[in-house]
Amino acid sequence: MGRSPIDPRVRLSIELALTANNAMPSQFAKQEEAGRALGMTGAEMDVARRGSSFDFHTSIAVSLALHACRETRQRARDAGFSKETCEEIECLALSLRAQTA
Amino acid sequence: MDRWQAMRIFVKVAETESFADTARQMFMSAPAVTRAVASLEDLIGARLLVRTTRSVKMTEAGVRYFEDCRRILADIAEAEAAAGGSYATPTGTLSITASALFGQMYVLPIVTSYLDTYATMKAKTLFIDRPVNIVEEGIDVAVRIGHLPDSNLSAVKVGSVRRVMCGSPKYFERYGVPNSPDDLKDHRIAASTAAWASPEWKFGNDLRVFVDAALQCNTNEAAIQSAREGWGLTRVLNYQIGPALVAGELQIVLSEFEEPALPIHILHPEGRHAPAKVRAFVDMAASRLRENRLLN
Repeated sequence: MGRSPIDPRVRLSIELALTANNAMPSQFAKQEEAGRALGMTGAEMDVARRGSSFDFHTSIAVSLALHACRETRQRARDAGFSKETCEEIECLALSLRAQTA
Repeated sequence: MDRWQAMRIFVKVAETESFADTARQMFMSAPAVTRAVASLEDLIGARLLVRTTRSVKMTEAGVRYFEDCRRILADIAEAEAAAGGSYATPTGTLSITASALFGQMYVLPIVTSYLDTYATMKAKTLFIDRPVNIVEEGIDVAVRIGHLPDSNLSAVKVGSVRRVMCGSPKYFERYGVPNSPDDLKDHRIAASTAAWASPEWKFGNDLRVFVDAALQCNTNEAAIQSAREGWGLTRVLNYQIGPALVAGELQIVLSEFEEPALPIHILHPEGRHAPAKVRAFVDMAASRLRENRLLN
């Protein structure tokens, strides 16, 4: 299946989840602004910072980005994500972790 | 008896369609109410009310006079309020309308805070899923969801909502997840007919899908409850399921096919000349709704 979940809202949700504990106030403000520009509500950004999402597919993408393992990969594949998309999510997570390390 | 008081009595009789109820509400005797209306009819030279054994109805002249009386009495009240300082301090009763669920979930807590803040104020709510003419129905403030038609009303935008398709994690585990609106034909649908009874559902980019809902609910709450229990999918405004989304009891699907968000506005009729009771409520409600992260 070729579902591509890496749209800007999914990408930002992953960033919010991965930077929740170490975002500086300026980064937090930028993320809020970016989320609003994408039509996300504050509550959607809050739940992304807690590692989940109101949206079914985004929550699976966030879960894979936070804990890449056989189980989360299989869950993503069951939800219709392609192997390439799963790899893209994991790469994005690694890149964001490297930036915030 | 002065003419204004007689007009007030006539308006109350017309509204209640009862001399006895008017007498009770205005702390008068029933004969005094009858005399007041009769003296008004003598003064005008026209019959205003037709009394039957069961009720009281207005004549054609009475209907016209009723509308004029309401306008005149409102003007008098406004003049008295201005002179008495109600443009500086909230006084009287505030009437607020909103759709049923939005009113209950988001407006009512603001109304009770308002009453706590302004102890001398009283409030009346009309939370109902039908169009309310706020001028004709004597409403001070309305909270409306959706694009507004042109009007002379003052409007303040306080947030936005999206129409979303949702289901419970239990449902998705058992029946799978729709990936496009066309997939809905293979799913169990609980449709709310409270605000949208058509089987044709509109999605973004003017995509339209006919949905054969196995369960049609006349309230949003019933459709939402069936989705929470894992029976099927439903389509509602996201504010209606805010707490269920936060709790993880419901999840959104098909978000990439959603229509553009709908604005939420606070409306009131008097513009910059609104009395203090309206301005105070609008300020409080705008601030509270804008702070609500489920709506902004």
